[in-house]
Order: sequence, then C-alpha cells, then structure tokens
Amino acid sequence: MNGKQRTPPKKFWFQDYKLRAILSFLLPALTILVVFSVLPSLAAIGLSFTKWDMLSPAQFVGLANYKRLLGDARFKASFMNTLYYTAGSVPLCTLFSLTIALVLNEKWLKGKALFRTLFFIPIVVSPVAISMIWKWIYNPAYGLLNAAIAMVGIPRQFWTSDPRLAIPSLIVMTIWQTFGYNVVIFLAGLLAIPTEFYEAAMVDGANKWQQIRHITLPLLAPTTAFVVIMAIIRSFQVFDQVLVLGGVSGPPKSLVVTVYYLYQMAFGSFKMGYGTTIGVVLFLTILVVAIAQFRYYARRFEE
Amino acid sequence: MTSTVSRPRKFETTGKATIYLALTLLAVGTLFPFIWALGTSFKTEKQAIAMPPQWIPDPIRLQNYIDAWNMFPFGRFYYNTLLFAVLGMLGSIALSSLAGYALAKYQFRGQYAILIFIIATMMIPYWVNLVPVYTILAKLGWLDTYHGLIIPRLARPFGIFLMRQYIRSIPSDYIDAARIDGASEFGIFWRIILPQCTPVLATLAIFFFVEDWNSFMWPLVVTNSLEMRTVTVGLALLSGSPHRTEYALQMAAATIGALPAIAVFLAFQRYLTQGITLSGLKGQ
Repeated sequence: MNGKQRTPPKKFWFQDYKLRAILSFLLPALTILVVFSVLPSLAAIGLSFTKWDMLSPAQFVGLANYKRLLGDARFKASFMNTLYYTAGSVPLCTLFSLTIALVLNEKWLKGKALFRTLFFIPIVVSPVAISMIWKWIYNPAYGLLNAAIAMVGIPRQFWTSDPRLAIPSLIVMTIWQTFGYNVVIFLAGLLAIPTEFYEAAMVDGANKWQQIRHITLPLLAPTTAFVVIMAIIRSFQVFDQVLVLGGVSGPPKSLVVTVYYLYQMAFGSFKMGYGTTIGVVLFLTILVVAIAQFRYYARRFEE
Repeated sequence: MTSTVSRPRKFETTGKATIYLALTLLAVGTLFPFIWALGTSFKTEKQAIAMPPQWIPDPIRLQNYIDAWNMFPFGRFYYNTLLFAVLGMLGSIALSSLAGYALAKYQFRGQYAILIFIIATMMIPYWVNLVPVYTILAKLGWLDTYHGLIIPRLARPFGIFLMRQYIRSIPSDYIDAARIDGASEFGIFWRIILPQCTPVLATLAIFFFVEDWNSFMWPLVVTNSLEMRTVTVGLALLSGSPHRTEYALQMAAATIGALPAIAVFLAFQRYLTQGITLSGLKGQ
C-alpha cells in the first residue's frame, strides 16, 4: 500500500471484508460443484452428439447416437427391465413400508425404536455385500431358497438367471434392503400430524380405517410423494446389485438394467459418446417422471 | 366385567399379540440373511453346500476370514476405504458448513439464486456425469489417486442445504456481538457457529461416511490398480474371481464388508435416523 491509494475513498468489492468472507466461504464448494457436476453434465449433453473412444478426438455425429438408441434392441430391453423393476419394487415397497410405519406408530406399541433400528440395518450395508449374500441364498444348486422350496416339493429354480424370475428376485432383494429406510421417513411424517385431528375424528365416531383413510393418508401425502420419488430415482440407478448377481459372465439379458448397459457401453466397449447418450436419455426420463409426480401431488394437495 | 365389554378386549389382546408376532417375524426376516451369511462364513466348504442345510457351523472355523483377507489385499482395501470415507467426510463437512453459513447469515445479491443453483445440482445423477468426470480426472492425471477419489465428491448439495437450514435457526445476535468485539469472519464461524451445530454435523458425518464406505461405481471407475481399490470393489472382484464357488469364503468376505457399516450405524444410529428424518421432512 502506498500513499496515493489512500486518498480515493472508493471501495472495491474485494476490499469489503464481508464480501471477501462470503466469497472465501462459498467458493470452495461452488468451484467443485461447477467443475465436477455442472460442467460435466453440460459436457454430457455435448458428448451425446459425438462418437468418441477416448483415444482419438471426438467426432461430431449430430443425432446419430439418439437415432441408434431408438433402434437398439439391447437398450430397449434394458430400459424395459428398468421399468419393470421400478414398477414392481416402488409400489410394493412403499405400501409395505407405509403399513409397517402405521403399525409402529400405534401408541400402545412397545419396542418401537428397537424394531425401527433392526429394520434399518440392511440399508447401511453396501449393495455389493448385500448382493453377495443374496446371491448365495439364490444359488441354484446349494442356495437356501431352493432348499426351502424343495421341502414343499417345488423343483429348483434359477432365481437370477431365469428370465421370468430375474427381476422379481431383484425386487424382493430391494424391498428387503430399503423398506426400513422408508419406514423411518414415514414415521417422521406421521409424527408431524397433529393429534387433534384424530381426537376430533374419534368424537365423530370414525373407526380406525376411516381415520387412516381420511386423516392420515391425505396429511401424509407430501411424505409419500417424497418416498415414491426417491424410490423411483433409486431404482432407475440400480447397478451394483446387477453387476454382482451377474458375476463373471455378466448378468443375463433379463437382468441388464439401463445403468449397467451404460457402464458396459462406456467403460466396457469405450463407446463414450453412446454411453453418455444413454445416460442423458435416462436422466430425462427420471426428470419427466419426477415432475409428473410433483405436479400430481401438488394438484391433489390443492383439492 | 360383563361379557359384552370383555369380548372386544379379548379381541384386542389377540390382535396386539398378532402384531407383535408379525413385527418380530419381520425383524427376524430382516436379520436372517446376515445371520445365514455369518453362519456360512464359519463353515468348511463341504458343510456350506450340505443338503439339507446345516444350521449351526461345527466347529466354528475362522480360516475363511484369514483366506479371504489374504486372497486379495483387503487390509489395503480397508485402508483405502477408510482414507476415502474419512477424508471425504471431513472435507465435505468443512465445505458444507462454510457454504451453508455464507448462505444463511450474510445478505448479498444473488444469494437466493446461488441457493437454488445448489439445490438444482442435487437433481443431477452421478452416472450422467460419469464419462465427462472420468475425462476431466484423466486430463488432470487424477485417475487412480486418492485426491481423484475424494475431491470431486467434496461439495455435496444436500449437506450445504441442510447446514444452511440449520444455521439460519441460530440467533444472529451472537454474531453481531462477536463482530463488535472484533472477531474475524472466520473466527465467528469457527468459535460461534460451529459449536452450535454439533447435532447436524454428527448427522452429516455419519451420512457421508456410510455413503462413501458403500459407494461402488465411483471407486470402480476412478481407480484401476489393485492397490487403490476400495472394499466394495474388492468384494466385487472376489465375487467374480475363480473363488466364486467357495461359498463359505465368499460369505466371510461379505461379512468383512458389511460389519463396519453395521457397527458405525449401531454406534451412531441416533444421528443417522435423525438425519434421515430431516431429509425426509425436506419433502414437505
């Protein structure tokens, strides 16, 4: 600092100590977000218009990847598998978790915290370890499940490779792993419902079912929306389980989900442009579903 | 008691007993796969594939754990995962609380826009970015390094958002008083804000730790040498290795992978469920 600069009273933004603090507090997080999240997703859109193997420079191919996607039977199959998995797991898991949460919410019930803790354990374990354990249970030759059904005379099943059973087996595993998480969220939502509503309903002579139908469910709608949307997003991303259940030979066609196909294309076949296109399309699908869900619940809410 | 009163009461007790029974069965069902895996892990390979299944391993055999541990460098995997999860957690907490504080307690132009921007990035799934991020890491020479594994995951929008919401509830009077006393801006954050945030910091710590400990696709893509792999990737390698038909060994490895997360959860479960409750209520 020399004497000349002292005279003009004009203050620059970087001389304001508060602004300097704000910037130094925000910049680390914002920089990482921009560099590793925002710019990459813009780059992903760009990459989806190219053909690129990571070795030679990317070639602009216009909409070729998207056209190819429309005619790609393996992509369609993976997408249908993902939809089947989502449509099977989300409603079942939501309904099941909601039922358990309603039961745990009963005032007379003792050991509520213990049950909640036990139900929650599977979600904290990595899907990789979970899938190894279930792969053992589903093992066609020595698995416990086939041993159990053999006792009632049902022949051995190929749980994860039979096209009819692969996705249902994955759904069962998912419900088992995630219902405890949903129960915790539902319980939090139930706690937020004021008890006066129930007292009033009891005065009016409403029975348990009517209370659930006309008080609990409508007031729980935002929580349900949250649970459903999170479950849809999660199930569209399923990957670890499929990779482990598939093993060395890779998952059977009936178990290949879209994120697995994306991974296979990008990091197995080095079709980076095409792999990214799959990601962009899947992301847009999720976005549309999520927005539709939000609007549906928002409308229900206004009524 | 007349019979008309006692009858419904009797119904009620059987109803309650049924519910307790159902919940207990469900709890057993939830734990069963773990117990079965644990049981298998103590058996010989021959006992593991015995039909009908042998329920209780006899004798209890620890050799599978030793074998699994030696077959792949699980010690190294553990070290990598701990480093990744702990440094990632500390860094994420630092960045989340700093950014959350700036957004909660300062007034500046574009503040709301930045908040919306951060929330919007929550929507971006990581696999959309997988190829571009991989490319950036390759260009930086960060592939197969710890900083490559950790730094891109440090800014977690959920953490920033949660910290911002929490810090907003802290009265600003303390901050103003400290400022008059001549505290620096960082001093205010460090000595006044942070100590009041312990519950939410604990929640985020567990959240981030478990998230990183269990993450799979990220370390799978970012690392490629065996010495840099994490526990989850190591497990997947083992489950796809020629040892895949050694079921007792596989279950010992799965137990090695599952135990730390379960232990952390049971030790800090109060904070974790609290955090999930907070994230759940976010939807309201």
